[in-house]
Amino acid sequence: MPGPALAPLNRRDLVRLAVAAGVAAPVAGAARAQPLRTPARVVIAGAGAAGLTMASKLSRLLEGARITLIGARTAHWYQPGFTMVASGVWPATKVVSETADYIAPGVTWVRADVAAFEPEAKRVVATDGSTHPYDALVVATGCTLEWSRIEGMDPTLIGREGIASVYAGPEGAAATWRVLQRFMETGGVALHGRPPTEMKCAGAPLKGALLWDARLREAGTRGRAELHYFTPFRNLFAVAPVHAKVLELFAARDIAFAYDHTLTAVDPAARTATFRTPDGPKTLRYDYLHVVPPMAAPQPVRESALAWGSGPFAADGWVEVNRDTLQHPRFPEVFAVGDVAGVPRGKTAASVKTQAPVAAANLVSFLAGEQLEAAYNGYTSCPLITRPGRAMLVEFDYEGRLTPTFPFIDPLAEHWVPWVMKDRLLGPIYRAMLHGSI
Amino acid sequence: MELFAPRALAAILGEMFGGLLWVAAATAALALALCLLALRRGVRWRLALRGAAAFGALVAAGVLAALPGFTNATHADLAGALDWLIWGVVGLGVGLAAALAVLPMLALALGERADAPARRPQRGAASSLR
Ligand SMILES: Cc1cc2nc3c(=O)[nH]c(=O)nc-3n(C[C@H](O)[C@H](O)[C@H](O)COP(=O)(O)OP(=O)(O)OC[C@H]3O[C@@H](n4cnc5c(N)ncnc54)[C@H](O)[C@@H]3O)c2cc1C
Repeated sequence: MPGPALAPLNRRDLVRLAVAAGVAAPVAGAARAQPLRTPARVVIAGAGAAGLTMASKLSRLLEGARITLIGARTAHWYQPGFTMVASGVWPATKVVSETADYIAPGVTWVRADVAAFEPEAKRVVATDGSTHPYDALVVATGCTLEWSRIEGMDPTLIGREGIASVYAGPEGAAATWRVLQRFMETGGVALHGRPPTEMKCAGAPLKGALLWDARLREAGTRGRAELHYFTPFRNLFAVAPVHAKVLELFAARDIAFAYDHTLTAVDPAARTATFRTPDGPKTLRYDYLHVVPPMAAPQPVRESALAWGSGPFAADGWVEVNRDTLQHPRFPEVFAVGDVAGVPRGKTAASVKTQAPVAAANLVSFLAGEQLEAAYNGYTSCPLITRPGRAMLVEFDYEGRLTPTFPFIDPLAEHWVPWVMKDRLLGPIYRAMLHGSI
Repeated sequence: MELFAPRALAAILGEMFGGLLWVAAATAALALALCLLALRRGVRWRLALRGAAAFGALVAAGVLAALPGFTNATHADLAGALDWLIWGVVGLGVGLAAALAVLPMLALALGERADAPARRPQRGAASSLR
């Protein structure tokens, strides 16, 4: 395969390199030189990637503020590593750490979830019964996996009856690898796909299909397997050049695909999956089924006044925010970061790295009574792994424009270097992000 | 956020290598101290350099052979100029670092040059010139 043309590096390239390495983020808006002195009460709902990063950032930007982080989960999951676990490259232990390791000094951690958001009263109620009034709120609760929207599907089925899902936590990812190993021996029909909702890391189901094809080839059993990919849309990826590249890869790998197919039901006993199609329901037999559930904002968010009331993000209750400033238009003291934010694209950890400095800077400006200057451009990135050892570093913005950080790497060519980033570099960058040091 | 902030780079390296960074820093400091000592003693640099270069080349060859495997990949996964460039730079860089680390030790082990300046006797010690 021909390699990319190597252009000489100039200073601009080096700066872009730093951005890609997580050293810098493409954020519009000036950084504040001194922390803001304020007695403000800041509540952060959700102690995942976005919540922890926001807590670390705000604890550096605010002096005297009371920062409360509300989230019940004590184990932290490095979700971008789930595909590595599900393809047998990493052990599941590599993607699990302790939430406590990332909590910035001075931040109070309430080990409960938010039961209710009451934005009119400027407070949240936690599942342990405590109430938390705030002057500023960051909603960072991520999204929920709506298994029940697929009839007959239950996450406890993952690892059994040929059912797999890389989305079902570290255990689900490890179970996916076990199911795949069995499938590599038996062969048969493998069904993959994506849900009709907004979803985190939309590249992951594609990565899965490509990675598992590669594993079958390594095992010498690809000839015994039939691979299918189903999407509810009329493309394989929402960014046109990436869609074209995936088409090319699927053709080269003999992966069949179909548009306008939404998984609606599973019958594990009969090993059949039913899809909604324009021609009516279609039931297919499978030996391996990779389920990616519909995703939505967590229930307390969905049921609050914070959710979009109309438009494309209303049905699943994503938080209404201005897509540039990440500020709520009706409750200006509220900001949303990460998967729960009702913005186009932006549901990756790489997006959190770019959103968090924007939301943090704007929240501080809000508390200081200043103009909000920082803006998020929709930056979303996903190393699209095409086989163990190779990946494409796909990055794009709101407009679906490719925004390659390294101008000398073709974002649509499979290379070892993006794979090395995925395998070795992105984990440390992610942890540095949680610690607020980048 | 500051672009290219050295603190950010340090944070990423810290997350990547953890305590190993301190081991590397201690090794570099030790190599530097031994280098200064060797310079004062007037050692046989040329011979030491040859030995260190051979050692570095061996390390580089080992790294170049093992590097893809270290990243859960194989040499067959390297595709195009950039991949090969990074692979080469890492291999040669580690080889060079290994050579530099071993150089002063080798120099001291090989002993002083015949024309090395005589060391000044320490105060209070018996002098053979006396
Ligand atoms: C299989 C897979 C592969 C991925 N691959 C990549 C990749 O290659 N690159 C990339 O950049 N990103 C990737 N991602 C996406 C990335 O992991 C997420 O976008 C990122 O974790 C979003 O951060 P978040 O904080 O919004 O959500 P999360 O990290 O999920 O955290 C949300 C937190 O909120 C908590 N919570 C939920 N409800 C409540 C409540 N009511 N009250 C309080 N807390 C609550 C949750 O328990 C959780 O701790 C992948 C994700 C998956 C699943």
